[in-house]
Amino acid sequence: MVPVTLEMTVKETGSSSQRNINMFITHPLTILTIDDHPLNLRIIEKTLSKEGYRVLSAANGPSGRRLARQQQPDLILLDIKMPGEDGFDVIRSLKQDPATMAIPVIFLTASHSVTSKLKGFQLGAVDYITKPFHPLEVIARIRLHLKLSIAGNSLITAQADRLRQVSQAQASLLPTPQTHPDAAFGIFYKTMEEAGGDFYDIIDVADNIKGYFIADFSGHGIETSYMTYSLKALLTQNFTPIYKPSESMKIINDVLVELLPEEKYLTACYLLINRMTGLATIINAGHLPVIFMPASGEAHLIKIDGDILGIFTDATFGVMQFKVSPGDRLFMYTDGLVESVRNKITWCRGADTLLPLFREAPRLSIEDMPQYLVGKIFNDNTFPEDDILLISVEV
Amino acid sequence: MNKESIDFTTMASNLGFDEDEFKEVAQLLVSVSLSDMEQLEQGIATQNSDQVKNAAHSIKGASGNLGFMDLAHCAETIENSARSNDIDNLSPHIQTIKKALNRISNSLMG
Repeated sequence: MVPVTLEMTVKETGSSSQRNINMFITHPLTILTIDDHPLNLRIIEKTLSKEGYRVLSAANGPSGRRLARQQQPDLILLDIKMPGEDGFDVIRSLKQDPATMAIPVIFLTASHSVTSKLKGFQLGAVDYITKPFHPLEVIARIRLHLKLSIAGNSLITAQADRLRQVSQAQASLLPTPQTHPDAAFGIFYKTMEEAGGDFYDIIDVADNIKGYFIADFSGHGIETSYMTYSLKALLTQNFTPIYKPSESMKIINDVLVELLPEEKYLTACYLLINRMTGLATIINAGHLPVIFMPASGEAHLIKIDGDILGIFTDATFGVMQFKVSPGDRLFMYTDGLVESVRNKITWCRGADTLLPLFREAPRLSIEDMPQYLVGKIFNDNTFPEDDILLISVEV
Repeated sequence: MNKESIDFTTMASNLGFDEDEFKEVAQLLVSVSLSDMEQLEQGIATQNSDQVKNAAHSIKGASGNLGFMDLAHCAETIENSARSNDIDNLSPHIQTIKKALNRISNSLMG
């Protein structure tokens, strides 16, 4: 078998990626096909082995999942319509298993139904190939997704030049209370430019464990916007149960140091709530203090020191873990919210001035709190010339 | 399907295969589809539309992938009929599929 090296794919993607010479892969790339039809397996086997791939085949879901765990393929082609465990069942299991969750899955389907396709994407598929498939299409899509996957796994630098962002792309990245009903949060987000410098994300670590990430990039514009895209990918890859939050933040920082242009940095804060154990963890990277409003008790700031992200390889971040109870609320925000309370005051003092407003606010639903608070802070009309982002979270 | 011999060379190159490789998978198509046909006919005998539908679906996908489009369309017709529980008048289509499979099989031997 001819070993496939990344050198081949890098050359195809253009000169901008050629600096990533440390990313050579010397083992053959492995593709696992799970399909109950022997003919499909055979066609794919033939097609891919000719291109230098190592090919594994499974005729049903359970043996496919077993092979995926044991052999760690670089990509999986998965038939949807199979007797017993169908493709949707299989991908669900693959994505729940830390050993296989990161392997990209492409669905094979005879269906043109949009609902079926969306369901697959929702479950974590990266793409679809419609049957009857043409072998060359299979190769083209596999190549594409291996490139994307390798780029992602190699901490983004390889493909960074190629990421061009538009505001729609950024907006589509931002989760809402509707898309994450389990996360019990509310959001107010206003950008002054098409591509804003503020960023947030909700990370579904597990059923009862949710992460809330907020960041503020220095500067605005397209460049910043593409970085938020990269950041989103980094969060998804690194805020997993495999790492402690502090380890995740360290990895993300290391990548950002390499990825960001000089002088470019971000402040960020990550709140992890485990509703099973009643524990909250906050990691602060030079960001504004979280406002903690216990169900019974007065709102106060949780001030934790920490270095900013993307500048120092040896950065340290403040970590605090504390007990929370159902009904407790936490608020995270960016500087647009405090800098306009008074002109040119330090962030922490600005945050202090917010507290009375939070203490006086009526206890609305968690989704409605941000809109209400922002209205109060800016008297409903005088918005500042900056992005405004406020996230409310209920335990 | 017409009576002319099958142009395996062209069909193979359409898939990026050489002729021998194509013949090997075509042989697999014939044997798998014949066993699908048994399932299909058994489904008709027992009035099991699902079984008919699944067998026809399998033939459709496999033959379509290799470029035997007449075969694929005929299997699709059966699949659609079975989906609307109409499996009593499929004989002409079944005959067409059997003839097509025979023709492929004979061409492979010849």
